[in-house]
Amino acid sequence: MMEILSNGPLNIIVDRGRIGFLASGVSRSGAIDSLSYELGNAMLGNSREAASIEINNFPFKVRMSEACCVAITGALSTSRIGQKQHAPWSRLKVNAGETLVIEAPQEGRCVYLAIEGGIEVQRVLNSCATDLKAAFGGHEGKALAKGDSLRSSPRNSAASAAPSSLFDPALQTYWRALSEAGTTVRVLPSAEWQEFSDESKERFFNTHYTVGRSSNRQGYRLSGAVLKRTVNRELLSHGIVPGTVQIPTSGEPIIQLVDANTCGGYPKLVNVIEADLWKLGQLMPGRTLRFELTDIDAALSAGAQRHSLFETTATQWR
Amino acid sequence: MILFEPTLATSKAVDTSVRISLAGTDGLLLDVSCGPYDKALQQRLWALNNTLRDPQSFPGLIETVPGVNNLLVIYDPRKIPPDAAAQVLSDLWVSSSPTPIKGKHFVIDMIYGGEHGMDLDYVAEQTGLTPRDVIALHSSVTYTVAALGSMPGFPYLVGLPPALEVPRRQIPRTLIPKGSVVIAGEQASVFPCPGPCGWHVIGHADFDGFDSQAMPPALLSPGDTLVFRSKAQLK
Repeated sequence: MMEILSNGPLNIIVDRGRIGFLASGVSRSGAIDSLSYELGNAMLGNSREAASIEINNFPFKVRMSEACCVAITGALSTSRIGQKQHAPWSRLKVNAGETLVIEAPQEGRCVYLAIEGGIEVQRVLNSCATDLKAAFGGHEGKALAKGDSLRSSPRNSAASAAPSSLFDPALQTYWRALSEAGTTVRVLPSAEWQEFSDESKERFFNTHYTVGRSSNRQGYRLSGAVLKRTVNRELLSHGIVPGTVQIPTSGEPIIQLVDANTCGGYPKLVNVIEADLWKLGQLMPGRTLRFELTDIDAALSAGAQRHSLFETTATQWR
Repeated sequence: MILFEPTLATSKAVDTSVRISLAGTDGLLLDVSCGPYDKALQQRLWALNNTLRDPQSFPGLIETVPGVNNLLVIYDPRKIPPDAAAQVLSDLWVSSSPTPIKGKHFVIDMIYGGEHGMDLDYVAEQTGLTPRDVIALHSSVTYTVAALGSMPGFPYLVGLPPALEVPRRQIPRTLIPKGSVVIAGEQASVFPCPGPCGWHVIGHADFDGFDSQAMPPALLSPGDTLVFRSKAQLK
């Protein structure tokens, strides 16, 4: 059992997201940085889809009523148990009665707290993820608040791990670059690709776009080069997926993310490939990103590589 | 670099071009629209969507999202390569024929105007009608659910009388309540949960359009029909 000691309108239970209900208008939901979320589970020997906490509001405080092992991944923040401080991306043992505090990140948007065994919540529509829009899933369809108590699923392995931390070289590269050069995500052409001039596309790929202030789990508004569509055709409403880059009339791109509406009507220039979606999840307003054109074969092999990181990490931490 | 060719095939149907494009790594969007909403095309898409439920027809299918004269298909590209998937989709479309769905019928009781229908007067002004005429027109027709989407259980309704077409708001409202009855352009809907909205709110209904414990969770399905009925006289 654990008791939440802090309020946070966007501290939510997440998993890999909800598959199979887009046609009912239900968003994917789930972890916005799917890689950090998965690796937290890998560090504890959990299954890939064990429910964890996505923390967007800081400081986050939780008191453990029983000893347990946790993994802290995602945004770079310091955590404390009593007076003792711990580095980001750590696996820690918390004793019964101790309080874990996670401070505001120096870099990044959200921290994942994975608990050994995973958090136990009812699966709704095939997922543990919180859907704040329709208020279901996760912890009673709501964000975590002071006084909420959660339990983790029982596990037979003893929580004996000595405190240790992981920082994969590839991840280090991502986090080091974030504050100066920003990040780069690979994209595939989308439905209205041909309706933008070559000049517009060149501008799109040569611009460092800045994440706007009104950016959240639904999507990011970007500022930078303005793009012009050469065709003036109204689109009828159509299904969209996380990673869709739309160009509204203003000409500045919008990226749809995990909590995005399931249907849209704006022209779609490109889609961020599955393997790079996680990189978007940690961009705070003001951070920059670039787009790089790729092809479907490269996207598929990047996906396979991204997928295998879980197993590699799980093996290393066994 | 080889880019995916967005236009793969042309249907045998007259005046209809099929566009299949990538929607990310594991999605394909089949767009058959040619101008405004076309009922026959929509009925063919519903038929295609039914066919796709048969695992034999499309190996690796994960889910589909029927839109308005389009269909999004999510699949596992490790089970079927993208170009093969696009070809299957195109072939199935060409061989599909319009199949009307005998959907359920719903009567939605609502209150027009007032506090929860704050745009009724604006719609009247823009259309040159009286609020009473707007109500009469809006409640005079049977609407069909073309697709669900946007938010949980949200129906895209077709059938709005052309006299009520008003372009959507310049600046969307950040939050309107569940049950809001809305129109914009040639589309109409009713909100199953609270949310932001760029459409015009003309009234309010007691509408429970989404239940996460039910299967399917959305009350309405594509092909269902509904009418709006005024509960009270306009004050």
